[in-house]
This record gives sequence, C-alpha cells and structure tokens, in this order.
Amino acid sequence: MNNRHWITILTTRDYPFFEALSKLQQKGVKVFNLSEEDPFEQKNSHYLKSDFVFDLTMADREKKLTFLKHLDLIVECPIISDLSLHWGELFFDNIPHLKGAISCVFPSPTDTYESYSSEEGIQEIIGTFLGWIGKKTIPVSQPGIGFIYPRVLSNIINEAYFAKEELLATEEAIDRAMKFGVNYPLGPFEWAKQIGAKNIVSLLDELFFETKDPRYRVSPLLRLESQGS
Amino acid sequence: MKKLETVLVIGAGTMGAGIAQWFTQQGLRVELCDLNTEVLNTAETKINASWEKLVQKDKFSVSQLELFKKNISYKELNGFTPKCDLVVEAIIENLEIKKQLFADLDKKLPRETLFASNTSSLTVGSLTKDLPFERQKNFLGLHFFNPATIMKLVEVVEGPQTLKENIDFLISWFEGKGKMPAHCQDRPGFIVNRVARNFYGEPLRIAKVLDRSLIKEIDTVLKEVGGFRMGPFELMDLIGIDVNYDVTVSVWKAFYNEPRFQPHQLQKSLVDRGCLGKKTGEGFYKYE
Repeated sequence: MNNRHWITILTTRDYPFFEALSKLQQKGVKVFNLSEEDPFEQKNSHYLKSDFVFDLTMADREKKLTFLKHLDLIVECPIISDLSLHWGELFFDNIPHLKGAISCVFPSPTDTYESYSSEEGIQEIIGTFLGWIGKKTIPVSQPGIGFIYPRVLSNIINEAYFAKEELLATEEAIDRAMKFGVNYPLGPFEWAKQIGAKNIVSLLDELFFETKDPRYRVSPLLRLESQGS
Repeated sequence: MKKLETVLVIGAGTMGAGIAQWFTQQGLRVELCDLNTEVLNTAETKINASWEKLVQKDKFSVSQLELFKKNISYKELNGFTPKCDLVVEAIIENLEIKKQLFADLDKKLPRETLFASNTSSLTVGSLTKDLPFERQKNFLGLHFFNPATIMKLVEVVEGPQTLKENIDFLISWFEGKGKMPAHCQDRPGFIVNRVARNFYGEPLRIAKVLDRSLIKEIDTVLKEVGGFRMGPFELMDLIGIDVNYDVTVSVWKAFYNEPRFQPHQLQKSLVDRGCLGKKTGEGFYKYE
C-alpha cells in the first residue's frame, strides 16, 4: 500500500498504539502527533496530498465531531477514524469523507480488532494498515455505539465494579471467578487495567447519552477510578 | 483442627454426581444420596464410565480406580451414615424443599459437620434462617460449576452467620486440591451469575431482533476479538435459552428490577415459541 498510497495518520500520545504508529514514519507514512502539533495550523498540504487520512485520536463526542468536520473540509480523500468510544452512524452521517472506522481502544487478547467500511476498497486499506502494526481485523456490518467487543466488555466490567463497590468480593476473587468459572481470557479488573477506566467510562457515558437507558449508569467506583487514570 | 475426610453429597443429578466424583478423586470417602434410585443408578454408571475413560487416558491408574470405587458409596436418602465432615446439597432449586432437607439433616448430623449448598440462585441466609444459630455458623454456600470434575472454580459463599474460620479452612483446602475458590458474600447470583449477565444482555441489545447473520457476527467478534471460548448466542443455545432466561429473571427480580439485569424481549419471545436452543433444534441458530 505504501508504494502506491500516501497515508497520513493523525494521532495522540494517549492512543493505544502510539509507539507503533510513530515507527511507521520509517515506512514513509506521515504521522502527526496532535498532542504536540496543531492539526490545522501548519502543513495542511500533507492532508491535501494524502490518499487516506487515519484519525487515531481520542476525544469526547463534541471535540471529535468538530475535529472531523474540520478535517472533512480540508481533505478530498477518504477518512478512516477510530470510533471505539462513539456512535459510528452519527459520525458517518455528519462527515461525508468518513469512509471507514476501526475500534482499537480496547486491547484485544487476540490482537484482532473490529473495522467497518462504507465504501469498496477501504476494508483492504484498513487490513493492510493494521497489519503494519501487527494487528488483525475482522469486518463488521455496522459500527453501532462502540462496536461489539468494547460495548459488551465495558458493561461486564461496569458490573464487576458495582459488585466490588457493594463488597460482594475482592477484585482478585471476581477475576478468578470469571476466568475459572466461565473461561474468560482475563478477569474484568485485569481487563480494565489494560483498557483504562477513563475509556470504559467514556463508552458507558456515550451509551447512556445516546440511549438514555439507565442500564448504562456507571459504577461510582469506576468513575472515581477514571478520574485518577 | 478441622479435617475433611468424609463427604455426604445429596442429590445425584449432573451437579451432585460431578461433585461426588471430584471429592472421591481427592482421596475422600464419599456417600452420594438421592431419593430416586433410578437417578442414583444413572449417576453410578456415569461416574464409573468416566473413570474408565480416565484410566484409558492414563489420567488415573487401575489401582487408583479401585480405590475410588471403594471410597464412594451410593445410598438412598435415608440410608446415609449419620457422621461426616461435610455435607453438600445439590438437589432441585426450590427453597422450601431445600429448607426441609436441611432441617432433617440438622437433626441427624453432628453440629460440627459443615453444611453446604450448591445453590446458584438462592441465598445462604434464606436457607439457614430457621436452623439453630450454632448450625448457621457451620453453614455456607459451595457453588461448583459444570462439569465439576473439570471446572476449577468453586464460589465459597459466606452466609450471614458463617464462621470466618470455616471459610478460611475450605478456601485453603480447595486451593490445596487444585480448585480455584473465590470467596464472596451472600448476594443474588454470587459472582459469576451476576457479572456474566451482561455477556448475554448486551449482545441481545445489539442484535435487537432475530437477525441470524448479525447474531453470528456478534458471536464471531466476541470469540475472535474478545478471546471468549464461545459466543453469547451459541452459549445460550447450549445452556438452554429458557434456563438462561430464568437465571436473568431471578437476578433481575432479586435486585428489584435493576435495569442492568433486565431481560430482553428477544430472549422471551424465543422461550414463548419453544425455541430453546440446541435441545429443541432451534434457538438463536437452527440445528439439523
């Protein structure tokens, strides 16, 4: 892909694969660290020249939408965005150049990540890109709110935090029970440590905001932890 | 100094038979009891067949097998020896029937005998409330997982009056035997049946309706991305959609209709139609 396409990656230091993405510079991929560079004040020509722009930033809904709308005005190529923590359909409806989405914020024990594309050829680009950083992808038919794996997992973890908060059992006992009683690859707390409480809370808040369903109410203990993480 | 040498297992269904087999394999003397002779005979046949297979696979020697067979006995409910270190109840999930059984056992077994229930849906407190206080101190929940001879987890449930030393003793004993005990308090669903509810509930909300291609996609993602051994829909089909639905309703009700545990209409509609999963040939998937 690199010989044929000009790829720009916009990312931030808190993105899970930030280090791996930085190394892609050696492959000739233009990587912008938006934690240190303003995305729209300099070198917009890079975006203009790109065949694909990957938005691998983490932000709340409004910030991310504003950022992508701005980017959409500048570029003429397809945008592929990580929408792990957002309602994908809302973004696809509002960003005309958004043609693909990936979900890499919740680490996968199998290094496999969901992806969605609304245009032919995009899935191949996503697969090649994830291959560069040693990841596999599985296409899904809809992005939904937080794709499938992050959405299900964040709810399991939330319940584990409610259980801990109510002194049902210790973290260790809950992890042990889920691993040895129902064969989970990781315990909910082990998983939460890998994902980061902040990301889990972001997704649950998004689910609550979009559905208004109280089942997505965040455990106070989890929210407290997210403010320290 | 507590000891664990003799165990009485009451209820020779799948769970009771598995629990009795596992305790026997640990070198304990076990009595497996049931009201129903036919159920008891089936359990004996299954346990023996399982041991024969394990000997063939070199998991146990012939002499070990002989010892196991010597150490386990199958008795009708009224025929058990009125002396044992631990009694594990694994009968039908019915509060009144279990309470009556424990009231009878209380009269027949010494006070120092540890009483345990393998209940998955009733609280220890509800089972013990009419028993003498001294008995309640030696009463706890021991929730094994199916198949009990393979699954390592035992939820060790601390009842309202359970002595901490009993919990500590059993946790240490199970750990010594290769199990993975998880200590928890006496709340609805304990750990697994509570925390795992969203493994089913959330995929049902993503699917919304019986769209079999989306259902398959969800199962595939949770296996291939999440690393789960089975997808939620194929697991519900295997367990029985009715069984899974009943557990969900039970936890939901116990938590006063908490929305996090609310059952889903898709699951209920399949139960109503008699599409209960593999056992009926159709559930979330269709089976030949």
